[in-house]
Amino acid sequence: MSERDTKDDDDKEEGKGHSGQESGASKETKQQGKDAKQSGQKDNDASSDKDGNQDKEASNKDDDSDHSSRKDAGNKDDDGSDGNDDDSGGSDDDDVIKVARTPTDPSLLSQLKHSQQFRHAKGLGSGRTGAAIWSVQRLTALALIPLAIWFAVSVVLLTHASHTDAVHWLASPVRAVLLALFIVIALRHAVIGLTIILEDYVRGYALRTACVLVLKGAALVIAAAVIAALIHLTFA
Amino acid sequence: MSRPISPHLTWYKPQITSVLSIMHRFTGIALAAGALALAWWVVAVAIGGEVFTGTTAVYTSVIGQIVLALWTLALAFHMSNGIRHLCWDAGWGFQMRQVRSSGWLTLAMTVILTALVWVFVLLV
Repeated sequence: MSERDTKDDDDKEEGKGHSGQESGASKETKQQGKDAKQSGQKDNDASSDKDGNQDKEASNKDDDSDHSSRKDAGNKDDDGSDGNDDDSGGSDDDDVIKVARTPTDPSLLSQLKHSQQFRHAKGLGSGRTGAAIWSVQRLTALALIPLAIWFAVSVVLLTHASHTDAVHWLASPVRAVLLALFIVIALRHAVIGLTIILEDYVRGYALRTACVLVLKGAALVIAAAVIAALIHLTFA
Repeated sequence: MSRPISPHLTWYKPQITSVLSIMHRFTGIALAAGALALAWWVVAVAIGGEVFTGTTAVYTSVIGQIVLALWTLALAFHMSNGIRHLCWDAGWGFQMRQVRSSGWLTLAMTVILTALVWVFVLLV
């Protein structure tokens, strides 16, 4: 219910506030609304007028993305003039939301299509997570600048290190923490970048998802192994 | 589903802007593999014994040194170009003249940083 209310706040049209009531309205009530409108009855009957407006609003919202089959069901009674204007013939069926074609209450379908969960599930527009990943990519990049310089200098100093030297070097808690941070942050940064590459070039939803999951799993295993090794060296 | 995917590299004429952008991706992939090599080195130190000896032998072999040098190059480039990207994110350097000159600066920094590291490794 709160989903719908949120959706209604975004709409600019008149009569939007009534959709909460509308959601509870049965088909019969709606039919009454249409009948009332057709018979020339004016705004005196408040409840049936709301229903009529809501019908029209729902149909209008669907105009840009939907095909005529559903539109005919919802819009005929209100306004027959623009009935089939946007019938694009259904050539690219993949982009059409199949759910919206079933002959159901148009206002409910409209509310469903605008709900965040539905958009998220269908991958329509922003799932409101893109900016967070973008920020993490930049922040990890920023953190990696000093860490990578420290790491490069350390590697240069460790060039001819024996095993004893290496153990001694890694056993320092400060170095262990810095190295753990470097590897974990670098892996986080790498997972984001490689995921973007996979999303660009791997075709097929199942394969793409599988690749991303394998990538994330591998990064997790590597990070865990490094931290375990560092703990072992520090407390040995 | 037959939606368009990203255009492939061969469609474009090489320019300093596009070449550096592509190199950023390739060096990123290479550095992810480099992170794996670093992680393995830490684990090898913890395990010790023959595992550490074997790892050191691989890393100090000729091929190992060449790969490590390429990783240094990749790290220097990815970091320099990454700083360039962060500057763009902050809104700096969007004039085409600036974009090109910062690109050449990135390449210069890559060579300088890589040379610095390897001069120390080989001479000190």
